[in-house]
Amino acid sequence: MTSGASAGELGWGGRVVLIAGVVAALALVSAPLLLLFTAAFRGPGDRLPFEPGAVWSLEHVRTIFENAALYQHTARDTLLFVCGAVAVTFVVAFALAWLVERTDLPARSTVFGLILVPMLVPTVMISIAWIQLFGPNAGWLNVALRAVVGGVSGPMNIFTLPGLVVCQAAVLVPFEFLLLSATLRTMNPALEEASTMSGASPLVTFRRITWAVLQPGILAPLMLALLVAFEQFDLPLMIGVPAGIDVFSTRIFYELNPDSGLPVYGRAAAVALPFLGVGVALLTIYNRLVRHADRYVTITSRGYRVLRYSLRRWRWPAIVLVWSYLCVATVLPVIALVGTSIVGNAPLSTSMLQHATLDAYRTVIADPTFARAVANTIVVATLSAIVVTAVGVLLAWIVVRTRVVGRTLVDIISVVSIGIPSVIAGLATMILYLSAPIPIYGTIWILVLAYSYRLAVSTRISRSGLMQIGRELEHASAVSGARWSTTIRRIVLPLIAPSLATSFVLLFIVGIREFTLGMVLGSRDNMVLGVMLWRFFEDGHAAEAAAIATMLVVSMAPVGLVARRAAA
Amino acid sequence: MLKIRRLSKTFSTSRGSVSAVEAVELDIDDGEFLALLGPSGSGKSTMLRCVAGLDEADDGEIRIGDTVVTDVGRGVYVPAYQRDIGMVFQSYAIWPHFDVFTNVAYPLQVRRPRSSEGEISAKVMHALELVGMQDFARRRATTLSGGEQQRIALARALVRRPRLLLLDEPLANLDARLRAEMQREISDLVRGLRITTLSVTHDQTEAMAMADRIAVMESGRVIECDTPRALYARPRTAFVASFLGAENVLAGTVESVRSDSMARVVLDSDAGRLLVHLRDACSRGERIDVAIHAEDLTIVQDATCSADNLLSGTVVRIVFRGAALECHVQVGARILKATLPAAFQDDSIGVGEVVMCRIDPARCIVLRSR
Amino acid sequence: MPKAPAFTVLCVFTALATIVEPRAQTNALDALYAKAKAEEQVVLWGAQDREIDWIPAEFAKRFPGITVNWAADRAAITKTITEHRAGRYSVDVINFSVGGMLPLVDRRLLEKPDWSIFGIDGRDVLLDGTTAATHNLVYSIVYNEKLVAPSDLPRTWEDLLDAKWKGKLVASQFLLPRLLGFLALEWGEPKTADYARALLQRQDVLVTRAPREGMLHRGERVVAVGEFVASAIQWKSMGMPVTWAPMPVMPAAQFGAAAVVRAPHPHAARLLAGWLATNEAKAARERLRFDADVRPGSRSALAAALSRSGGRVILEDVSNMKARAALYERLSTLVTARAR
Repeated sequence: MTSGASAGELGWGGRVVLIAGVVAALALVSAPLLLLFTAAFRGPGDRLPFEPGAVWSLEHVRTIFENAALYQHTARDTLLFVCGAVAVTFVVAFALAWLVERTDLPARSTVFGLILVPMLVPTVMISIAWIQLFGPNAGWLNVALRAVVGGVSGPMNIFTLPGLVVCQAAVLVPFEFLLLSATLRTMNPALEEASTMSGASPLVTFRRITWAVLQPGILAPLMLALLVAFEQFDLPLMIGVPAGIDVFSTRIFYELNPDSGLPVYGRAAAVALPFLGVGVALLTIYNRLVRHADRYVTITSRGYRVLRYSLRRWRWPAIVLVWSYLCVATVLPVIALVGTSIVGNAPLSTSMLQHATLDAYRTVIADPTFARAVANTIVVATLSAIVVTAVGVLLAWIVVRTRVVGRTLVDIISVVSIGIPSVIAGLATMILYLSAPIPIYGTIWILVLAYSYRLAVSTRISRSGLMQIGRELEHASAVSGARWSTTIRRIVLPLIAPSLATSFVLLFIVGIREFTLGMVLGSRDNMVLGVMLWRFFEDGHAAEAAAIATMLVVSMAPVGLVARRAAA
Repeated sequence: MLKIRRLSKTFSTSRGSVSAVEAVELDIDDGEFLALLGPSGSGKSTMLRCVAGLDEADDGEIRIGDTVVTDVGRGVYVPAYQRDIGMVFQSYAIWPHFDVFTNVAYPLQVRRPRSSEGEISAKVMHALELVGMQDFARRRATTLSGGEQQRIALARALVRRPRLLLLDEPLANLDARLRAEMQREISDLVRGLRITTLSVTHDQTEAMAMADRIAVMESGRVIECDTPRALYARPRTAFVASFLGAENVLAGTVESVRSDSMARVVLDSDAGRLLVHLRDACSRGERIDVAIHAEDLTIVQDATCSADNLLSGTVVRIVFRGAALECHVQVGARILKATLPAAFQDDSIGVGEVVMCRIDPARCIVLRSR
Repeated sequence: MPKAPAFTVLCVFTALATIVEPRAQTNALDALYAKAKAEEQVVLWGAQDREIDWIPAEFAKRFPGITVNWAADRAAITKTITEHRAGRYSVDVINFSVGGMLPLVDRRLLEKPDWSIFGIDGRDVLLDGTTAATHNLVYSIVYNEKLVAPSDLPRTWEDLLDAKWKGKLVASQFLLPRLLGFLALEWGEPKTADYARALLQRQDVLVTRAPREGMLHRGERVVAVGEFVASAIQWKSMGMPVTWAPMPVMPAAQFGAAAVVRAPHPHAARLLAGWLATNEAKAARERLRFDADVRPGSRSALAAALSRSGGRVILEDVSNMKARAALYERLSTLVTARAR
């Protein structure tokens, strides 16, 4: 970034907006961060960090990090899990994004929408669906396979590290796919055409040109995937624990559920410290690698037309590949969910459907809190998505286009936000607003604020989008006499609209299915669907939980279509 | 060398289908430099991309040498990367992550069977020398200026000695001086290497300077295809005439025809009468257009002079163009442009002066009215 | 004074006392109710919805005119402490596990009301007079009755180590370590650790956070180790083919109710907390939610069933809580695979 707008070019309006963005970011992220550090470094364990009797102490950090088992088991398992899941996720998501965005794959819009479906359902239900399908003894697919190949158990066992990795990848792919397809859509085709004209086959063109030029736009999704995989705890809890796999995130969960007494938030926070370290490290690497981002500018004034390759004889193999993936990752789990919603936990049998009933749906809809929960969920998800997208794009602009002092700090703050486990974020918000005189505790507004701490997603996406716009387009606007705010409004925003749309959709979806924060900050007034689902689930009402999940998928499916159109 | 038959391509846009290229026929001989000239939207870029194989034609046949690379009727389509073509893109498309050497070496590196490192190196350096960039071999591509990138793009296109070279508005982004220099260099280069070249441009001076023949395109069709001189002196349509510099196009009616193929024409808009030399037979009363190059108009300041082919008018504007003076004269209701040689540099013509424009009858280009 | 009249007077006084005392109790209760009614509402926090959502209706039957506003939250204790620290007082009554209530006791955030006016036995008042016992959750085994014949059932915890149960067992990641903590008090730590390792490694017990009833119903596993008896009864009532079997030693977690200091509705708080520990409320809880009191002297159906089974119930006790917590820590590392 050799040149950029100094603060002076921005004008007063611009400065106010940027400062507001930074303040908002700090406000949203600092509470969780602050709690994380105070909790980790204050003890003893039976005192909350802000209580009298709490002193600065390394006791929690020592307890956690001086335990050899942490390194032998937890760290090792986490590494295997994260690397495996991200590798599988990345390969699958890139292949899918490539086929959908850069080839003439048939039914592209449908495929796009179906790929996103698993993202609409709370992960815990996805894991239940996969257990339903792949449980070694009674999993539906295993029962079916055993009818053919015989055996007593298996052949597929989801309660293994490969099972966990594949299931986690299936959950991460939609998110990664969305980000990668946004990148692929905006690459300058002339670079690839020049390679083609130089005699390189499509494969060689991809290997030597496309891949290299795409790298900055791919690094961000990769980095996010790593951070998200690291933070995941639903699947490691549901599938990893039975498999004997212990990762950092489940360790946090364990610390928060003691046998007696208070949860030792300090130890949970201490375990969370590596998350921050990993986040900062990844960000540093990312910054170093994209330092010369200007040369990868892909959108300029000459307009662009996406280059699509014709699949020809690879057409049918590609179709088979894509739809096999969709079957395993989307179709079968949805069938499992719908099945559970109409037959509950009944074992797979030929007479199963005789007991099918829609009672679960009736129960859910008749529940007095249901309508409220639906409204709350939509409001909270929409508002928080808007807040985070708006703040994110402002932060991204500061980091990419200005030279103001401290913008690296802003960047770091936005990235570490994703390294904060949601339980800590929820707890921080609770403590903050219980103590503050603002009467939002127990209302949906506190949820909006709590949900809005995930700045990393929108900042990364906006940053990628901004980097791909040639600076001269903004200069042309300035020279034409437009103020900074007009340039942003009429030039920059429309051009990064696809990135903004992606960010909004992503955050909206995450907000819809969020439940950890809702649980920590929940009251009967701000009940959201994720919490409602979890409560049914814990009480043994699997059918009702699955009914909510099914309704979520069905109602959110149009969002996938909108996402496609908005981002196109 | 390059034979194009019945080439057609339509695009479907949000406004319905647009015919970009319509039933174009073209032949380019071995070693010939042909320029596709036309305004934007004329289909010239689309044609180039069809020849390159980057776009698939909807109908027609394309043959490079003995190889049929496209034959829609028989379902033949050779992919772009298997056609033996070199191409220079308008944006140069230099790869940012390679250095100059690798950019130029790339076509040799991807070719199968691959030559030895030594052979590749020799060819690359030779190509760089051809464009005068041999000292830049190890520079990072992102540090190059526009003109330097253009030369690298040219070196890359030529390094494999392709049968056909395609140029997509290669000089559009260069400044005037560089442009003139590159016109010279490129045409010298391709002539020296005897490479058949198809170039796309919207700039007629470039086309005339570099090409052996020019094909003028408009709305997807080739209007005329001939040598620059022929098109310049004897265009057949008003469109070609005005595109190639005969900007003064006056409509008129034939008043009388003389036996020696001269005719007297009454010009519209009260511009006057002209004696013109006919190429083809014309009859009395026929409507024709008369096109005149700006440099064929002479200004006579003596308003009392009387002779044939003198049009009376008022000077409305004078533009200084360095080597020449451009004079806009209002004749009747029309404004004619005259380019005057340096002899008139002493500011003897002023705006508002009444002058006579004299035109040699042989320099009047008679065109059929559309 | 002659002896006979003194004796008579004594008898009369005693007779009067037995009549007057209960009435004094009833009078005190009525007085409390009157003051509580003036407060009109009471705020109750518990851990899970199902543990407390039945209370408003039943409480209203006995003490109409007082609305019970309830909220369930696993972090209720943290919330209470945080609120009090911030000077906010919004909760009146807590109904929670006694282990969870310890931090409140330490910080002196619980009242010590007069439980006797509710007729609550002194032995059922815990945690230094602050908490009255409301119910227990008893650990045993739960199995799929369609897939396990009664003759094949394990009779002891050690029976589960038999080869025929390999690959057929499931346990909750939350509950198994707690069960092991209790067992360690009985068996000592080394034997319990060996037992745990055998269960986990040899028997391949599936340790999970997913609902066990789903696993049992589908047949993914057939016996759940260390599951609550009340859960089995509830699942059965929901139509699943599962039921519980007794073990020689059955630990019982203890739950209680307490009134919080500086409650916004102090009298209603004491009224509700006390009522929750009465036999009437306990019976309602068992009837509606299957959670029962199994302390000595309990009249619950579950207590009767347990005593019929011949197994011994180990009650959770404050005196062994610390020891058990330490055992829990160490044994849970086995369960969460950090030291397998």
